[in-house]
Amino acid sequence: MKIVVCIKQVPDTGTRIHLKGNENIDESSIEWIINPYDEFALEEALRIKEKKQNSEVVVLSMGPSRVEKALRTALAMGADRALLIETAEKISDPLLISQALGKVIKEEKTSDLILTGKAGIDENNSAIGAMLAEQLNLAHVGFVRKLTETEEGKWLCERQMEAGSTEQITLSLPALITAEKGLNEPRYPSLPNIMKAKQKELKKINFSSLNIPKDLTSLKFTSYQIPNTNIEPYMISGSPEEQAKELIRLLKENSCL
Amino acid sequence: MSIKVLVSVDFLDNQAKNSSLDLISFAFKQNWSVIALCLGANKESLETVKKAGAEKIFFHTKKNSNPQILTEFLSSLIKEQKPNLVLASSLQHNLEVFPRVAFRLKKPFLSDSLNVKKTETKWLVKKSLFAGKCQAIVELNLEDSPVILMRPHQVESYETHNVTESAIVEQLNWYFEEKDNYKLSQIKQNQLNQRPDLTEAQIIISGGRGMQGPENFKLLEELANCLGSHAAIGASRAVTDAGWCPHSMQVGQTGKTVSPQLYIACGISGAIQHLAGMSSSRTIVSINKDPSAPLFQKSHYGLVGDLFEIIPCLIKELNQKTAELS
Repeated sequence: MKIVVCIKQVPDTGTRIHLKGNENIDESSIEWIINPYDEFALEEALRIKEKKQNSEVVVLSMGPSRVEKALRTALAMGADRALLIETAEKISDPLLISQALGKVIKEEKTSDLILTGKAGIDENNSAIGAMLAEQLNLAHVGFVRKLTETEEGKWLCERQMEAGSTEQITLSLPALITAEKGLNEPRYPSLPNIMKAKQKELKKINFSSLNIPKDLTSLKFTSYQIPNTNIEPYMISGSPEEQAKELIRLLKENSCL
Repeated sequence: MSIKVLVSVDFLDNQAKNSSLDLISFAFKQNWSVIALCLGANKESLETVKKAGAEKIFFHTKKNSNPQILTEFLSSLIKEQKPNLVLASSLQHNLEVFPRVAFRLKKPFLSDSLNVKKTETKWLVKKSLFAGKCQAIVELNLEDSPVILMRPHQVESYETHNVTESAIVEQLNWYFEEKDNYKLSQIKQNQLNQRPDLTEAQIIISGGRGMQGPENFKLLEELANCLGSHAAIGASRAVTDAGWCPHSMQVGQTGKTVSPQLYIACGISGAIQHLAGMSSSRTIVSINKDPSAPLFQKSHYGLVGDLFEIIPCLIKELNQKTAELS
């Protein structure tokens, strides 16, 4: 079975974001990680590979050269080889990203399963999985928390919807699945595997060699701003009874209740 | 230039969701003409859609759950209607379908958006990045006709507009043919949790490590019960990672981004990734025994003290108020 996992490199969740003027994010102090949801996707791929003989897990990412580090981590976790679509700068248009990824996936020989995270924790668009599925003409299920192979060789996807209901969908491969938190607990790469990863194949593809029309849309991020969320809190003191009474009174007064 | 907006309306139990009606009303107030797409709706349920400001309504009593099938139909409708903008709520089902539609039509796509504005030549879409640590404006040319999914509760709540007479209603004759490779086999309603989803809740009560154990979350349940049916329970990452609560309850950058009217944090110190997910809440209350908890600096009201003493008092106080009223 051949599985392609699309990963994105994002700032660590603990990172404070600083700006360079208002037209750019200052990347100098950012610690980069694999997008956590993509990590769940990768872990799931590795678990499938461990169960199925002759499986291959290929990780694919896109971005500036710093992204190589994320791919090396993925290789250290157990992916067999990596592909990096290298761009001169960060590209944020989902339409461009998915076209590039899709083109590279198509160039690979037939893939059975494409896995990626439900969203990037940076832009939170949830776009790439579904767009890729459309481009590759695949069925897809998003937000999967549990994935099991059935006796008939189909894949049972379980997910939870906003209203609290659970949905089960049976998919036949080839298909695309996006991972939600809860799917698994991603492994930490071991030291020997980190060493081994250095020898694994990491192929770089130049974004411009893919001939994707860059002026397809005019989408452009501007006017970055760090919202000031610091507030001078109103501290309510007194006994627990007094605190409770005063809080309820204030919430009612400000029509919060 | 008159602007035409297609709003895809979500239905739950034959009722249009408020988040969708908010979008219609929002577009109406900008003087844009609104085409509402109502799938899984019956004719009676379209009244609220009309009153929210839709000029034209396409409806179908069924909705197919397979994004691949829906994409087919939605794309052809959009091609035919040529709206300048497609709007829907940033909810899971929509997040599966609309990126596919945008890709097929080669239109720009953004979700989890906070606001959309139009200038002479551009669409300006406000996006929250890194779960709210940063914001940006995305510029798009007007003629790009983007597909934008909006985070619920970001535009003003809908108002009833006096447009009922002119709305044109058209039933779609779409026939959804199932595909063999995708089968929705089961939908289990969660009986235990009749609370609204975190992303749509008006009030959220969240518990952190200070709750000391999973068994104590029933205290938060009790408090939520006093606050009515629009209160939901959330949790910090520390708590969901420890297995006290399911991941679906996690508020923060790797959980849900929420913006309720009222957020009550109980025993949550306020790690940056949690703050990222809740700091856009209208009013924030923090209860913590540690006065140096960072969350206090993001809270409108702070209560330093033992939550196991304060919450029962809050419950008592709220119950008394209800008793006085009835």
